[in-house]
Amino acid sequence: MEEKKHVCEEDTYDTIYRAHAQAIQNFIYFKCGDKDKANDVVQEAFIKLWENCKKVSPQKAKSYVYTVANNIFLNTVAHKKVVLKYAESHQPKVEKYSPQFLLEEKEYGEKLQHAIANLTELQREAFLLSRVEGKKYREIAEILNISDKAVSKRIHDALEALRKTVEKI
Amino acid sequence: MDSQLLDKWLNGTHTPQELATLETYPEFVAYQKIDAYTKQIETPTFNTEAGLQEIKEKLARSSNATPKVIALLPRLLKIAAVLAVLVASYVFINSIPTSINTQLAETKTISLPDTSEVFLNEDSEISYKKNSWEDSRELNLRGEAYFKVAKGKKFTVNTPHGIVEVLGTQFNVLATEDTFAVSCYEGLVAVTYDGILTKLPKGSKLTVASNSNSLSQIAINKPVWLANESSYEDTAILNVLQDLETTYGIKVTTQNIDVTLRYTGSYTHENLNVALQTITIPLGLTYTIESKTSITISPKNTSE
Repeated sequence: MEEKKHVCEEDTYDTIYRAHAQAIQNFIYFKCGDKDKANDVVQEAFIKLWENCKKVSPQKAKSYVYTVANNIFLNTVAHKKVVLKYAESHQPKVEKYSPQFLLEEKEYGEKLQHAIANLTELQREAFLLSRVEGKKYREIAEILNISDKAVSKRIHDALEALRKTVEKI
Repeated sequence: MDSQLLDKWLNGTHTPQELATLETYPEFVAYQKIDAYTKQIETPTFNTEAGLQEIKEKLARSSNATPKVIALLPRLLKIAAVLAVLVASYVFINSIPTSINTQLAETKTISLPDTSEVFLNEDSEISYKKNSWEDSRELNLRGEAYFKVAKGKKFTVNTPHGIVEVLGTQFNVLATEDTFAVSCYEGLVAVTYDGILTKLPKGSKLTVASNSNSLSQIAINKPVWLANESSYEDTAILNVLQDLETTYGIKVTTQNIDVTLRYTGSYTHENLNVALQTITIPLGLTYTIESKTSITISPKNTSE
């Protein structure tokens, strides 16, 4: 039923927005680490989708918005080192562990943070889409407009690079 | 490590058995820890409904504004641009003065917008603003001209030497490179030269030489050049010959003549032979026409 609908119809448009806006914001956030920028880019990309709603079929809408968001990002956001923060809740409960363990864990977390920041942008976006967003290769390949194999390669390389960095003293 | 197994784990399609195999690799244990920490990375909260609302508002605003901005503004701008060009060219054209000049051996009669008349002598030029003539009767003169001014507001003649102002009269202004002379034939003329105002009553002439001004009386009631004649009174022969050169556009060469000779009389502007005769015969000189533009003047051979 959805296939016959048009993106210019408000219902269809809203559905697409509700389904993908957050994921696209995260995708841009992984690239730039700036929440406000990511939000702006998403809004701008969806406005573009509305303006071009006659040219974009509902099936193509998702990858269209991802591509537009990515282009807007490349055109507007200055590339800088991206340090992404952990959620507050990730800290292990204090009473269960020894202070030394907690300190080691904290250090590990910081090291990993910097290691992720030091990944190439291509590695980082593929890796975080897979690990944080829990997306499958197929979906990541579609978003990034690359092959499954390339996705696999980027994530493997990212894991390997992270492991080597955090294991260094 | 088996990268296909790793892909399965990354895609979440691994079996418990495969996981057990993977866990025998030390790298994989490290990956698991990295994975556990990475999953804790916080993604910014996103208010989907608020975001959607915001887009709707933006689109509503731009769809209201768009037709006006795109269709109307450029049209207004076009109209404004055309008007601006028209106004600018009108102002520009209005500011260009009307200019009239005469060549050597040519005179012209010009009627000004208020029926005043200007008789322009040879090699002279006047310029004035046609459109603002009613407001200020003002013109620029280089050379010589005779003015018959209709009664009305102040009439001003600007020359490189000085300014001549009148109300309604007839007067002659000669303003060449080295001479400035004003003759008044009717009414009263005010001449400002070097900041000094001189009032010329009817029948008087002001001549400004390089360092002395002289006021003299004139007996005639029109400048002689208007009658196609040049008239002289006790004037050095070389000055007369210079005038003759400009009148006919010729070159006069003198041979052994007495430069202190002075000439009184007039010559016509219509016939070079007659003019040459009227100048040379009374002074005991003779002339030879070498070519159309070259004349030689020499003393008359007394033996002849």
